[in-house]
Amino acid sequence: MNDNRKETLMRKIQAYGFTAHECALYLDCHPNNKQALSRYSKAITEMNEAVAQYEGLYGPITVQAAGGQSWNWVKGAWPWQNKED
Amino acid sequence: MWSYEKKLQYPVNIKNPNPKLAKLIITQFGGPDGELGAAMRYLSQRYSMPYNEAIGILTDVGTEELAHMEMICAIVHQLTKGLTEKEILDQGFADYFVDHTTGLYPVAASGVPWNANTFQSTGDPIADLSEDLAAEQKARKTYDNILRFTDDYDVADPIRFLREREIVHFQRFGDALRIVQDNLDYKNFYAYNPSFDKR
Repeated sequence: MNDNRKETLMRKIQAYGFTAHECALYLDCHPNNKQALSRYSKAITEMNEAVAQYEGLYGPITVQAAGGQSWNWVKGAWPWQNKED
Repeated sequence: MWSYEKKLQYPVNIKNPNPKLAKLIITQFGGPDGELGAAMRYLSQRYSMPYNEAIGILTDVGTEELAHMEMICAIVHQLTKGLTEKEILDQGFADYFVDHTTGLYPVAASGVPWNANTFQSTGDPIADLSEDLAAEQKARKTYDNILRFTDDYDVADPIRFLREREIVHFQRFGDALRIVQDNLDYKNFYAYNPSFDKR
């Protein structure tokens, strides 16, 4: 389950998510900045695509995306557990 | 990680300020059985919990407690809006007001600031979950006591909602404790710590 693709996808989600977050912090105090607004929306689109791909393959990242035949929220490793756990 | 949702879990719309009542209710923000301590307790205990179901409960209840902290703060905020200096003095709010004005600071009803000594994270799942069961009952008790002094429906309604949540959480922590105990084998008759003592 711990294939390279999973890690690569997660790194993408983290990078896009962090970009979006940085833009959000800036936009909180500069709500009319067009460049930041478009950068935010690009990062969110990219993040959502990566999240959809990741969740389809490896399970939910947020509880809102959880479900399944048996509640998949409590399946698999938690983010603070390393591979040896 | 977490992300914020711009909504309350249950609505809070209070029309009449009441700083005397606000000073009692703020104890569920920063008091010994309050929501801040509850969130910190459950979110701290997750790391040494050995079973996914129990980790899920601690994560999701701990997250909900943050939402309850926000509801308590909304109640206190709305109860202390538009006060005159005379009202502040007459209703016994001046001692809080002099340090915090009408800002939200985590204190108990007695004025004692929030303290991490109000909870434990023992690294022992049975000890932690037993504390969590007690914590939910202690919070339910505080809501019961708050309701004794609340005749305003706008305040009592969200407080009753929060009280109900304590009862549901107590049930779920009971489930989690049962799951941990079901996973103890015959060699663990005396319930050693399944997170630390591997046998």
